[in-house]
Amino acid sequence: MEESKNGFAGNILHLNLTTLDYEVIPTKKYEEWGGGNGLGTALFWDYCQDKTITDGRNAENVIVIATSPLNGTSTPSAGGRCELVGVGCGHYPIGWFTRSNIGGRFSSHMKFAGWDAVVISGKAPYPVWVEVENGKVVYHDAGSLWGENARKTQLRILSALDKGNNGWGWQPLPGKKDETSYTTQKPAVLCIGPAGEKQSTHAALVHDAGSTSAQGGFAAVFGAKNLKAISFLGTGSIDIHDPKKLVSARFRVKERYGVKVDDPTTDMQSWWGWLSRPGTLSFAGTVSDHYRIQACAGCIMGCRTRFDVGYGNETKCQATSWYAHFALHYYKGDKKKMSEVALKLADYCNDIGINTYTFAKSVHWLERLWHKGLLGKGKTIHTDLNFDELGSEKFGFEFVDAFAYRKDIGEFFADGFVQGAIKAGLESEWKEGHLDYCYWGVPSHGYDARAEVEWGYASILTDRDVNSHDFNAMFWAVTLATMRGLPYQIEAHEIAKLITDKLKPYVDTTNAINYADDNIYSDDVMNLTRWYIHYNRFWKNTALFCDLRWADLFDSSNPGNIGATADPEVGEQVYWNAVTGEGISFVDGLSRGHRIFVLQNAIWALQGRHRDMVYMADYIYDKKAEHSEFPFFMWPTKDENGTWRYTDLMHRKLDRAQFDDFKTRFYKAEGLDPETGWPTSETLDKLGLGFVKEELKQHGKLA
Amino acid sequence: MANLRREDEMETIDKKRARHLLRTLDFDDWMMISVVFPPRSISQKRMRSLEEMELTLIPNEKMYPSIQPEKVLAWIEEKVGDKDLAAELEPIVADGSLNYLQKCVALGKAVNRRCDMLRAAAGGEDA
Repeated sequence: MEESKNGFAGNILHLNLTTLDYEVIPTKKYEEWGGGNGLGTALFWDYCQDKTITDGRNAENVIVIATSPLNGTSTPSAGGRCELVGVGCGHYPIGWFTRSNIGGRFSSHMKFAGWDAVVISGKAPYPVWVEVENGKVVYHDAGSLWGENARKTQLRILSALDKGNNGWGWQPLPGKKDETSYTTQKPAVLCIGPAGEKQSTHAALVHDAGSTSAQGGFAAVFGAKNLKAISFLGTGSIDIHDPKKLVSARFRVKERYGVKVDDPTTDMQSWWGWLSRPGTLSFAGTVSDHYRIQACAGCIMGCRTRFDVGYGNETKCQATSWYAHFALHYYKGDKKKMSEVALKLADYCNDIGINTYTFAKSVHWLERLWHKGLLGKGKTIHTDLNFDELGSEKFGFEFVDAFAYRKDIGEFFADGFVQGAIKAGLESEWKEGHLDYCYWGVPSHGYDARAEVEWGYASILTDRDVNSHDFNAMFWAVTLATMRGLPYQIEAHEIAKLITDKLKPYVDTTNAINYADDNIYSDDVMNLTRWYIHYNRFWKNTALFCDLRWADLFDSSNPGNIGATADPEVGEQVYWNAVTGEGISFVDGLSRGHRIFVLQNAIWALQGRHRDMVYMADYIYDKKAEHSEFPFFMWPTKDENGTWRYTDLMHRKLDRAQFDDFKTRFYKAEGLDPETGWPTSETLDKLGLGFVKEELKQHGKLA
Repeated sequence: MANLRREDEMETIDKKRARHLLRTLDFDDWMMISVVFPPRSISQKRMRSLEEMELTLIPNEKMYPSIQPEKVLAWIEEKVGDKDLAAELEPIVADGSLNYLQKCVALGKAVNRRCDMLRAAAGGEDA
């Protein structure tokens, strides 16, 4: 194996499941892609022979699990992230080349074992799991693990790898040059449960207790490939170009932006300080006052919680909230019972390997079908589930089981809810917005694309729900202050200035943050959207800065309310350069994001994308956003007199023709052909992507 | 305050009427509101009865009701059919001195008092 370079472990592991063999690819050739999303996309291009496939469960599909140079280092809120790319499943109308992400310690151990990425191709002849310990790679028969849930799978693999049978005391691992090295660390396992085995698009990959990769459908891809799990354990380390600079920046960012534990007030306008409070991300409340925090590798915050009651550990965010409000009503306002049910069910979803995200916008739709007489025994969509018991603990587990084991409605909707609605002849339910799945057949995030336009634009112009809260922090800070009748900590004109200062040179005016009806199709908003996509492609998904901490575009923890993003002392590029030894600017990173995005457009073109299919669901254009009944959805706007204010934007719809024109200008600015949306030959040459031209040309997709 | 009713205008609540006001409504009369879990966003929830609204209106540290007070008022008056409660809520909805959450708390307490009275009249909470 090659010696590691700054930030890189040095090698990439290619698992050929068809032959149950592997090869070692030197990372050197791919270092220009950085890591994560960029590295994975480049590897996909080289190793996937048929890029026209439209369902990730096709055996021709290749998926890549990729780290970044920052993984395994002490870079704050980036050391433990891990990126997955490949053709996914569950999108509509096409399972796009897409991405997903997990936290925890999987990427760290991949790096410590000497690997920057894993390329997975082919299909195993029988269920397997893969053990990687430093340079040793072994395929194991997973027949006895097939059918096990994710928790038991991990426990059984840990037990199998406990060579000293000493409960993970000092473990001997193969080291360099026939030496033996030792560790007390446990292997980091990424695996699927029954839903992944049954290739349901609602399945999730699970690592440890609460790290899941769900969006994109990669767990179903694992199942289709007969791959139950991959385990990494390493005793190596990562060379860092300038450790002193890295540690110095880490201390400085924590000092400026870290949670102030002595200050009990919840500061919603300090994104970092608020989210890092223990229990914040357990949305159904805490089930015990006795808990401690848990963090991904290298993180300075710790947004996960471990309780003394033995359940709900490390569950957070969506997993804890999708059922809570149903439980609250079923148990007649008993908040403790609500928390108990919600957290037990969240635990179960992680145990069984299920994506709770698809449930957030589908359960109340199913409830509607039930009461409309369209769902039930012998109805248009048959079910044996009793939706009159929705909210009960028993129903919650039965509902999850249906999707985990692909039975009942879990079978009917296994390819997706939009696909199921169409199959049942209920397409109008989706087109009219009763089924709130607004981009590529996946659920609205809850931030309505008609109000928070950049979220919708970036989702439909890429491949999935963008799920990136960079600008969204504005919504929460201002909306919650409005609800409480509090003065705004940062006025609208100031927040526009703070944020657009971070977006240079993409935008040169505060108007980019003007969410007024007459500005949401402007070039300024278009350029903000480009920044948003490029930032995500490189800094968030390639360098792998965590969404719950970055981008930090404004922050009331810091004098002047200036956020950490792009800061010369604590910005993203500081850590990148300290680790890699490169001397790139923050904007250089955005340019790399653009290059990655164009390469992905080449893949989407081969898969069949044309600009004429790049529209959100009909209801986004046909109906005003009324559904949430939220009294305000506050965003900064500027009126004709130039006066800034926060305005409720919930009750509006998008204009199809104006969005079409927005798209044309977006494609031109990105170097994509405005007629088709495909990369142009000129842009490919300019970005050093000439190697994709021949394949595009062969398929008639070179613009 | 124009809609405050004199005592002789108020409805007499017997057991049957109390049970009617506490009933689960027909599906078409359910009211879609939302529950906010900061910072997870907004989860939709249908209100099937006055008691469900009672459970939802008062915020806690993790969940805020997501309502338009005027629509809640109209739903109670027109769908639930409780004009007396609607009359009691009207000045709260109109009170410009209350912020949103204070308004939700005030509405929630009024609905809670009404539900307590209706439950007592109906002969117990499981009526």
